[in-house]
Amino acid sequence: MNDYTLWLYPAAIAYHLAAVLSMQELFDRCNDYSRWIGGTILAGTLFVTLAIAGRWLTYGQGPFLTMHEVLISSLFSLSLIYGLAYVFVPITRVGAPFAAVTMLLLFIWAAETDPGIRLLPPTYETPWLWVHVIFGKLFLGCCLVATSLGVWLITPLKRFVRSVRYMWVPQQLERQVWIWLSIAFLFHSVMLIAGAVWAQDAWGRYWDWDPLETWAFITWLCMALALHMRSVYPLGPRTLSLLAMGVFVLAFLTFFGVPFVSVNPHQGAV
Amino acid sequence: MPESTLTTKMRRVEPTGIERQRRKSNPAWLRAPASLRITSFGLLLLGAGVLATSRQSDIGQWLIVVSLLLLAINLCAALFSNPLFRVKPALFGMHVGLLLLAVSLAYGQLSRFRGHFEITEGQEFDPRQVIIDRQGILVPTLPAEGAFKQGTIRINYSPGMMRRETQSQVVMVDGRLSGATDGRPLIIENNRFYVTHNKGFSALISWWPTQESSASLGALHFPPYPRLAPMQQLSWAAPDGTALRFEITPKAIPQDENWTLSGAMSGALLLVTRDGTTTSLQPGEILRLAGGAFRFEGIKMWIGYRIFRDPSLYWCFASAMIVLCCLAFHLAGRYLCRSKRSVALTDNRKVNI
Ligand code: HEM
Repeated sequence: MNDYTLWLYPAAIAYHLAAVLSMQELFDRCNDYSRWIGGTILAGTLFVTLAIAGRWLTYGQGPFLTMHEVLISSLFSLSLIYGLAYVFVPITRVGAPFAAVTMLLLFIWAAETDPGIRLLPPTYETPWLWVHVIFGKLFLGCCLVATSLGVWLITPLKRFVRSVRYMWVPQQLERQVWIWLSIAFLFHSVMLIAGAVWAQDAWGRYWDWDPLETWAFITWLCMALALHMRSVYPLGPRTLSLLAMGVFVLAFLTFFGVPFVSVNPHQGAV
Repeated sequence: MPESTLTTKMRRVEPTGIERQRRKSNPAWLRAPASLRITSFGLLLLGAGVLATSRQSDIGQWLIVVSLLLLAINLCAALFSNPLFRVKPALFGMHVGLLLLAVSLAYGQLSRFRGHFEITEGQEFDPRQVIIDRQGILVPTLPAEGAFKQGTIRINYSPGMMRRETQSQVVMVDGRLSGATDGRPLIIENNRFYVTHNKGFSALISWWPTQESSASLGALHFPPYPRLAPMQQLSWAAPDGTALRFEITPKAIPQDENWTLSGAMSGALLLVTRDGTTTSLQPGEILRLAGGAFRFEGIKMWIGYRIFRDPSLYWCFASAMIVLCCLAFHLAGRYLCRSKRSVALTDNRKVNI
């Protein structure tokens, strides 16, 4: 067993605990689990960070290429962003059951994939890679927070929940979904622009409608559409939640599906 | 109050504030094309166009053009007529940035040039050898013949066939050394020359016709190497019509150490087959044919370049930056400066049960 997998074991325990505790809290009227949930999510992030850092030092390159690397680095960013939101923005805690389960599933998926290393192509040696990847991760993280709140807004489970910590005014929740979606839109725009600059330098074209570019643009359009529709047709909580979930699903498929199933992949991603 | 009554009452409410100002200060012909409903429709149409294009459908291109035109008209009308843009300067700036971006992209479409060509070490750039992939109607100019001379080509590999950096050196017309590598094109007169993964060996041949004293020099490109390593052969008809077959046998690719691909990997020996008889030539050796003789000058590397020219690139980047900065300001103003309403909501955030 190498150092990498060694750090993933405590991470597995932390993500399992976070998922179980966030479910448990829904039905427990007396105890406040928020410290434990926030703590386990951030602990999971810490262990994944140590695993990634050790691997990075060993091989001299970051987790940017293989399916395993993309999954594990996304798990790191999702749990860091959600963990920080959980600690500093109390209203986002209502999304913990969805977010924690998503992170656990992502962890299990990553554990199933081959952790082997592949050398980065020379076109990856550019600062634009960093801007592109960091803002992509920030976008996905904000989407996760928005979606987890959206899921809570429409879940029928709400009726059975006893904990007082989940009793927020729906308008406040809606406002939060909009805030996180708007920030996600900003980050997504930065990601697209940095990706275009990188593609121009690497392959001599800034946009070529390859499957990844096409789906990333459609995700961006969906968010732009949502931001405009909001002014024309007041969206109810249900539509808003479905919209946030739709954007998250699209983004999820774009990040983890398209580059790995397409016959004509984005040259930078694989 | 039951919810249905509330909705009915809200629908009947007279337009107030910004909406009333919009109606009062703008004629209907400007208000109608500025509607946000058209924006939603335009964005949907654009999405449909993008999806259709990704499925290689011709209609997709048209849908994209039509939707962008619609959005541009819609946005122009809104920028003039929607008072919201006057009270939110960052939102205004962001939409102006979007309009500039659309104009820059459209100009780029009309003036873009894309092409590719192959060149051998020591050869001068010749625009007539460029194969055009795409050329806008605003015709661009390619650099003149001899704008640069191809220098040495080196490609580093990790063990096996893992390609690392490509270094292609060029000598500019003023004698200056320059070059192109992965992610860093050579830029001459706004034309960007990108190295590609396409490269291989080429045999330099000079042809001496029997009746003339002057020779012509040419390069014959073997198939890409190392991608087609086992197929390093080509057929060539000499100027006198003799059919020849050339072959080279490059050195074995190191499987357990880093290596560099250069002309030296080629083995420097040319096997020439004529009428079933194979002769091997060293650099400088001559083979006589019916109408003349050719001399094998040696083996060099060739490399493929892609040329891209789009005068709108910097405009697109600048407009995208305007969009980003204004969007960031708009969102910060909207969500970070807490409104009285949101403070009130936050103060009552927990429902007493
Ligand atoms: C793809 C193109 C477009 C993008 C990405 C875009 C993006 C945005 C964004 C992010 C906002 C801010 C929403 C918020 O504060 O929550 C906004 C608002 C707005 N946009 Fe656009 N926009 C686009 C095209 C247009 C067009 C064509 C129009 C023409 C009418 C338009 C008119 C407006 C108006 C009037 C608002 C203010 C809405 C309000 O807050 O009530 N936009 N847009």
